[in-house]
Amino acid sequence: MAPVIQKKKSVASKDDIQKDFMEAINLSISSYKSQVRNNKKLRLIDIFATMLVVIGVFQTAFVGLIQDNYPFNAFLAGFIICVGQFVLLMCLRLQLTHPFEGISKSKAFGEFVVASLILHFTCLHFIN
Amino acid sequence: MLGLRYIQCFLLLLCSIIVNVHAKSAIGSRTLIVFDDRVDDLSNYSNFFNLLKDHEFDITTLELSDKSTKINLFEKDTRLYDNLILFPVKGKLYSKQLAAKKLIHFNEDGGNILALTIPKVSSDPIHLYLNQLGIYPSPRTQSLKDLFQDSNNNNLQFTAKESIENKIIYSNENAEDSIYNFGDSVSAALLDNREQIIPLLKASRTSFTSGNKTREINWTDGTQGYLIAGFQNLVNARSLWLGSVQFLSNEHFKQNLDLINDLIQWNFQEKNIIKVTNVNHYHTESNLSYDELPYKVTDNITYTISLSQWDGSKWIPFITDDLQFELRQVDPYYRITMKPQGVSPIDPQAELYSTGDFKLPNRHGMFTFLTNYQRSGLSFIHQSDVKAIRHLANDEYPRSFEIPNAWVYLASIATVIISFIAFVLFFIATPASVSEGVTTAKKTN
Repeated sequence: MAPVIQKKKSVASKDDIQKDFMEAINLSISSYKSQVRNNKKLRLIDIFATMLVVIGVFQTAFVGLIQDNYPFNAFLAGFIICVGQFVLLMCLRLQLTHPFEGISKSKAFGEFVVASLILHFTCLHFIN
Repeated sequence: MLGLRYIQCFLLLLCSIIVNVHAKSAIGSRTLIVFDDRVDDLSNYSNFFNLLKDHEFDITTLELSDKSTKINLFEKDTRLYDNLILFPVKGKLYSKQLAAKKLIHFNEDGGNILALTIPKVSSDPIHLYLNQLGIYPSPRTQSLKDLFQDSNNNNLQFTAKESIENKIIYSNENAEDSIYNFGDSVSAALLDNREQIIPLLKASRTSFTSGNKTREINWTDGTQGYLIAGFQNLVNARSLWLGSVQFLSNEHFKQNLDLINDLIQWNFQEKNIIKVTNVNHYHTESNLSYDELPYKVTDNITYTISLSQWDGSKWIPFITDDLQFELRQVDPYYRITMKPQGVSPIDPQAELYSTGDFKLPNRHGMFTFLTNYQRSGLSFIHQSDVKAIRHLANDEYPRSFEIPNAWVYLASIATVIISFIAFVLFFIATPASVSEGVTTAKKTN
């Protein structure tokens, strides 16, 4: 297979590459849509994740804007809570789509809630 | 301490009422004059000695031509004299008794020395002593000449305007064109560039030192050479070197009187004496001292210092505009020019200086509160106080909600937590179509 692809690539023009690329993107979008279509929980997770990314980027932009990171612990707390929450969400999402052996989905959710609470507790103390 | 000061004050007042004549030395008046009859006749200087007597110096003379004379500057480690005047001494006989080491010991113990040299004789002990100070008078036979001076008797004359170097010691500002006569036998000196040396009178531009031999190298040329130089050591004892004896002689006395007077007053500590009477620093808002409330970083502090000056009979407030305070930890963090605040409320004889309110740097450690006022001609003042400045305790930092910048981050955290709660509620509320969704997803995969 491999040499054939290479041959193709060497011959392929720029347009072909773009076409392949668009195809791949379209494929992943459609697969994502079909994954989410019937599952409101996944949609909910994704909305929340997007929101976290927006908040994180906003804080970084704020630091850049005022050219000062003075209450640095406060910034770290604000930023880390976004990143941490995002990671936890992704873990939850992974477990919903591909459940681990021996761990039910409701147990996964429970673990997510406990971990999140610990994260919030830590961040609140860090910002004091 | 305060009682002592009052007693001192009272005694001074009493003295000034009883005496009430010429200026007096701030330290003492016991004066020893060492001279050698073989070099010069002391009667030539009667006017000078009368001047000293007018200044209330208690004079003892020691004649050295008699070889059995012993010079005792100390008796059992107690200084016998406050001032020592050394006329040129001939021969090596006294190099041991007047050894440079002994003279320096005398000087370091607080005694003032007036040393005179002339080109005619090499008074080794005096030269050695001066060399230790960093004053290098011309060697024997080398004398100062100035071929541009149109005098018929080889007398060297210098005008105050051109030659006087130190305006602090030379008080006669009005007579800038007065001329001083140094006679015809003058030695000039090269000076080291030490901070303690105070050049007082420099040679004219057209002068030079030369000896009898033709091939000898000149010791000084032009304004390189100095005729009068002072030296003030770190305990504020003063030495003065004069390059001419005739400068003091009766012949030129009247002409040189005001300069001689200034020099004696400075040399024997009658003027330009300043001292610190009180140093204080405290919290600006609460007036609490360091002992009551130790300093921490970024505290507001005020530093004050009081200075007194000896005016010849009593201590009076010393007023200047270039007194600086330094707060240093290796490097100065602050260098503040202090402002005179008027007479000190604690001590009416002193002027109070204050830095005003300043904020300690945001750095903890050992800091020195330093006033280092060293002007050539005035007593050196080095007043230092080392204090520890502590860092903030863990509960002294501002809380994040007190800092406006942190409100953004606080708001973000609040948003995340609230949306998390909302998320959990929605997550539980949404119907569990999960299994179906997952299966479809798996199928598409």
